[in-house]
Amino acid sequence: MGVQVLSYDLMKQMSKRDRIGKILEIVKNKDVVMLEGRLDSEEESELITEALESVSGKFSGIEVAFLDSHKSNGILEKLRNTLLKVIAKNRIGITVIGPSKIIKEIKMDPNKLEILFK
Amino acid sequence: MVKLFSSFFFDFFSLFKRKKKISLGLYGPPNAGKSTLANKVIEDILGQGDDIPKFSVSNVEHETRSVQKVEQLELKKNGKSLNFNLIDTPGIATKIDFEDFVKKGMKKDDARSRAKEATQGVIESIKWLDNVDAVLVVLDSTINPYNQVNITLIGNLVAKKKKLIIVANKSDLKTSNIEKIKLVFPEYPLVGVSAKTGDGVEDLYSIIFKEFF
Repeated sequence: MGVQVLSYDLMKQMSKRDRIGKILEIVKNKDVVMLEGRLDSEEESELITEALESVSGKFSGIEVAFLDSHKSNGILEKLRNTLLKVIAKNRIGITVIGPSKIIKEIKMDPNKLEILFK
Repeated sequence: MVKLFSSFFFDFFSLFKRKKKISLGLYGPPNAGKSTLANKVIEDILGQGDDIPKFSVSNVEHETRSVQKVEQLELKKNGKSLNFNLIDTPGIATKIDFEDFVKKGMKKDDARSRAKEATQGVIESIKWLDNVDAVLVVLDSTINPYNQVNITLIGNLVAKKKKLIIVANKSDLKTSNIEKIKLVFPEYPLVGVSAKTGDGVEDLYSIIFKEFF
């Protein structure tokens, strides 16, 4: 098992279809993908749908989690981060996607992701 | 002039005749209690009996494996009425492994067949998002709500401009933590219920009228 880290710029160059195809290709090869930034919610549900359409004896779907590096509580911080998100769009944060045959669970916390392997 | 006058009256009265009818979807992760809640709503409106529709419920995940619908329900409260079709959907998941069903005591062939049906059910569930007008996102309040399935589901509903209420189910259980759900999803209307005991369901109806009417 390996980990492939993909930059936001690389993903942005691809069409939506190619992005999802690339992620699934890696995950089906039993590797974990780390993306800079995040997919939009529509892409996420397409990724889930396509992953489930590929379920077989060897592949049982995916584990996916997103770490938002700019969560905030204070009003000023919220305002700053909202502005940052408008400018950077989906570039902020890290998305982890892996095959569920290998990853048991990804525990999400606003400040960390804990990946538990089988 | 007569034509214009009658047309005006036709439009005027049709406003009163027109009843609001929505497709209300129950969405959420597996085993959150969507079908139990659907049964409670149906029972409150139609009563009990052999001819009253009832959805199958189970402790084993993915009991609901296809979208189920009860049409033409009418919820009444404080002189108002809301007509709706109730859509119960298979729980959304990112993985389905037949071995998980084997671990729960199923024979391998049955587990494989259940996993296959469950997979199709989740895909159908996601595709049905386009067909609902409003959604009750049913979450198990004994489980940490901060996970990608819940975030993706709610993100999708917002992107599709669907109205939503978060239903924190299983409030009757000792480990229920409704506050945690409020903390994770503070932007959305939320109500704590126990679909099993009926606790909080009247509050849910009040919020449905407030948000969806």
